[in-house]
Amino acid sequence: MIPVTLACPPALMDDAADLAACFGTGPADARTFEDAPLYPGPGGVAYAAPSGLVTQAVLDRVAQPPQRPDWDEQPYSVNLTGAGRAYAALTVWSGDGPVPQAAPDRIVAVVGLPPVAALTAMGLAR
Amino acid sequence: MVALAVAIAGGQPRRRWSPAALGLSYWPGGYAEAGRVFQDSAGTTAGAVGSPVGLVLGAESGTGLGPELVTNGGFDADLSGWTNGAGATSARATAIFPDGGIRVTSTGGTATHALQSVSGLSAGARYRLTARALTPPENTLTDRAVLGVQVSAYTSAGSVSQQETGAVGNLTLYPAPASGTLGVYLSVVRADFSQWGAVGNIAHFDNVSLRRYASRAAAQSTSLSRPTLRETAGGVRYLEDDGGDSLPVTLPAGDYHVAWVSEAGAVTFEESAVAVTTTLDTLRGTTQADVVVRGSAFTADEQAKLTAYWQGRYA
Repeated sequence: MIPVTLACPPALMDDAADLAACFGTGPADARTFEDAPLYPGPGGVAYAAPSGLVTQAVLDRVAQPPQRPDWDEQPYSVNLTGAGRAYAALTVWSGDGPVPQAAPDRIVAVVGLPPVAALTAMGLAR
Repeated sequence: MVALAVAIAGGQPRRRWSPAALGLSYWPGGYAEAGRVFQDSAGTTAGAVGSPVGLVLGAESGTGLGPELVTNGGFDADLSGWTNGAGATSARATAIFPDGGIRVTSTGGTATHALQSVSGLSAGARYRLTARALTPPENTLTDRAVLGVQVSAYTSAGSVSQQETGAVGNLTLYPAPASGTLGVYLSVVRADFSQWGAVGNIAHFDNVSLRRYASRAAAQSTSLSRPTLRETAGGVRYLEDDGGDSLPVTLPAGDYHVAWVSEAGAVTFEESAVAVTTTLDTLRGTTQADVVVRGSAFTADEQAKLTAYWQGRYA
């Protein structure tokens, strides 16, 4: 299992929920950011920063644009357009170069660092 | 074991004290017990050190099971009680299970399953669903025998599959129905749950069973909100919250008192009662080896006994 920590600004929370639903394993993963702790960071806003362990299969899915999850049947609950916007705003760091700073217009995912180190590297204060 | 152990002292049997004596609303009994800690909230994947924890079955009322709730899960004489989905036919067969089983064959399209709707359940309670299953290795496109409770029956969140080894396997999951009714689906679907079964592919099942679990369960269905199972050098298993994790248990509304212990044996009795509407987070510490939840305050004597019990195990 691989540690992942994310930082999502307030402006992207709704779209991020759709993105998490696409990359997760079930409908409850749409709550990934909603249930996450908030940390102040760059731009003077609070970032939702969930962290946890994921499989390589999840990371492989993230390498491709989001698709409607198997469980989402009509009437659809996942907004694929919103998920696409969140995906376009997603920056994934997995060891190469400096860790991207959290920003009000992007979602940052830090792969492979312990949560505390990831939060600090993204510029979030605990 | 939850049961009280019996010690012999001075020729007289003496029961060793257990937290179960406290009349608890939830008590996992630690996190080391095989078969009670799972990585996912449906209880399909056993817990493992270094992996997330999505379900912890409690032990406060024992680890037994209630009466059988599935009708004709053994298929001893016929398929009564079971109906076919739109994309499947089914037949009683004895080639795999000599005493009788069900063979589900995909006819293409959607709903490639046999179904039984079980009613009279308690919303929020935890049930154990099991079956024996076999996926014929001749199946194409990785279609497998899948036991599930989801309406669509081919999602990974509420289903478990038997690999294409040609051997009979035991499938188990622990659903918590949102209402008093639960659909039990015996399906043939793609291994990654992405598609219904292709025409002609087959799944075999027998001994389908649904029984209520005696105790409550704490579960987290959001993947990144799950704690991680850790183990000390001394072999004590505990939960670690890496930030924002939780493991809620559904309880009747009311005020609850909580105590918990760290993996190092540090015991905390929370001073204030927790007001519960529907759920209480059983993950109380950043690291936690056990927790108890009760609808009334702990007396000084109970606190002393619980502290001694935990420190005997973890300190």
